[in-house]
Amino acid sequence: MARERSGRTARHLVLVARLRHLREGAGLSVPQAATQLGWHPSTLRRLEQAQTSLDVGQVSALLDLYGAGAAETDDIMGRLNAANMPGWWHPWRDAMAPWLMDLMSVESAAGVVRTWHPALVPLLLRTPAYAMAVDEVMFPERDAADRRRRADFLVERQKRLQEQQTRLWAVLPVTALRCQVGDDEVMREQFHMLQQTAGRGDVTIQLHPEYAPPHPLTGVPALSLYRVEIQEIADHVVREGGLPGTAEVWDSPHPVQTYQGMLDVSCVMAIRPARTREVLQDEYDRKWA
Amino acid sequence: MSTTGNGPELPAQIDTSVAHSARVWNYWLGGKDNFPADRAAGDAYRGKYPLIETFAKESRDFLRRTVTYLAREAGIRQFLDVGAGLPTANNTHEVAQRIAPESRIVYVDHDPLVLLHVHALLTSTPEGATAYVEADMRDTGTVLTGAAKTLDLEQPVALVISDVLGHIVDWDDALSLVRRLVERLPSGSYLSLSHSTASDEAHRAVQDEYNASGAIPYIFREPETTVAFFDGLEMVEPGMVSWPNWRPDANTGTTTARAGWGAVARIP
Repeated sequence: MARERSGRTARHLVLVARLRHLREGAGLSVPQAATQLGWHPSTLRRLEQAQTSLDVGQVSALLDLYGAGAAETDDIMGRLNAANMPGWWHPWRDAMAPWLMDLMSVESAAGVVRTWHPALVPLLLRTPAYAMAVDEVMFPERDAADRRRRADFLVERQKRLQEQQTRLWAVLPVTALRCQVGDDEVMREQFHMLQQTAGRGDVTIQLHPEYAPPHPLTGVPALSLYRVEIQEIADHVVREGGLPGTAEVWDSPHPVQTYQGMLDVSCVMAIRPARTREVLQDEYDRKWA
Repeated sequence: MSTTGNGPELPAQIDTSVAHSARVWNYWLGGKDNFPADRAAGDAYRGKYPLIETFAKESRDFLRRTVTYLAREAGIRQFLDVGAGLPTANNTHEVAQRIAPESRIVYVDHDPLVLLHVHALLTSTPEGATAYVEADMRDTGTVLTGAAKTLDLEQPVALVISDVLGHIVDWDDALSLVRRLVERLPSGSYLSLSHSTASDEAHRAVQDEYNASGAIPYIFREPETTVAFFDGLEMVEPGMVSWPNWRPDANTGTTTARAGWGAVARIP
């Protein structure tokens, strides 16, 4: 690889999806297409999975093989440069786990992020102080500067999501708000932020009450579903909760749709958004007013 | 905004293992908010009647053109969309607020999942408002009380009923629910209504099969029947016609000449 990659961008993902469709339209399997070009099948597989940057010569050879028309060829070749450009998060590589670098392309183009956390305020709704307090426990080996940098990156992600008008839809048990993270000031500030955020048109928060019967996400680790409003880009699901700094990421239909169904049922069983805002107020009054 | 905040009673439930018309519709329209049961039902229907996908798109396109007319030419700034369905492209508030950002829209549906998607996904312009009411459309009292929290029911409102009255199997029930809503709206309000029709016997047979599958049934009605929804109202040109013939524009297809009809009328 000639340059250090910062993860796939949405433009990159769209182009490789188009190349895959062209191959399928030409009736060729990956091994068939690769053999005809004298490539190893894994070269083409990696290209189609956006694991390598798009090389002008390779893409041109593929378009010839697939019999793409002149207009389509010009369009795709014209987009190669932009697709190979690094994303805005490139300078933050030091603050990111490898899986997150790949996910950032999806996040940067997401129309909706749905998220569940079983025990804490979901990441994208955390204040920097709350996030650093969680990090202190999860990553004891990191120093303060490191934690600060990760919190700054989180703030940048939240700012960008708001700017790109991504809708955020979170569901969590009310008990997740009672887990004391950091000192009282950290909690009070986090609550204040949650209440303000819940009032924004682009954010939906739903709580499960203490008396809630089991719902499909009961006991499931933190997860987020990313939806890009482009047909070519599949929904992505990220599930954290294994070893610190690790996550499982899916973009294949079965796990994604199963998790979407679990989120849907969980949200239908949770308190409605308007009533959740009243419950947030009650929770604040209970301990922090 | 919801009229039913669920308190300490049992939580709402949905069953994702049975096909649901809003999600089957979402599947035909190319959406991602559907489950295996919905895709199986949608595929089975489409396999026997491939035009259904086009019908779904052209029904949505009728909605787009009528809401455009209501916002641009009739000057309507308040919309009550009953039986909204899952969010897809060109939702009522998006069409209206593109023309008049101050437009206020209330979506009504009885399915909690539909309304949570509406709430979470449909953001209003800052100048206007979108809200939702969780109610059965037959419960017109709840529909209107909920709508009144966002709309001024003393000012003209466009009542939008897009292709959902086929779910009300009893004709008198369907007619009476539309009448009860129309009666409560002031002079200068509008009714925009569309209804599916069997385009041929094969279409009718496939729908019968779908209805027998355990999904909420949808029954076809002929335009000669459904025109009665507009009794006493002032029809807007061209009156009650098949979807593609209602003020077509460059994006309007011509496939559904017999699949669905609709009209827009002014409430005197």
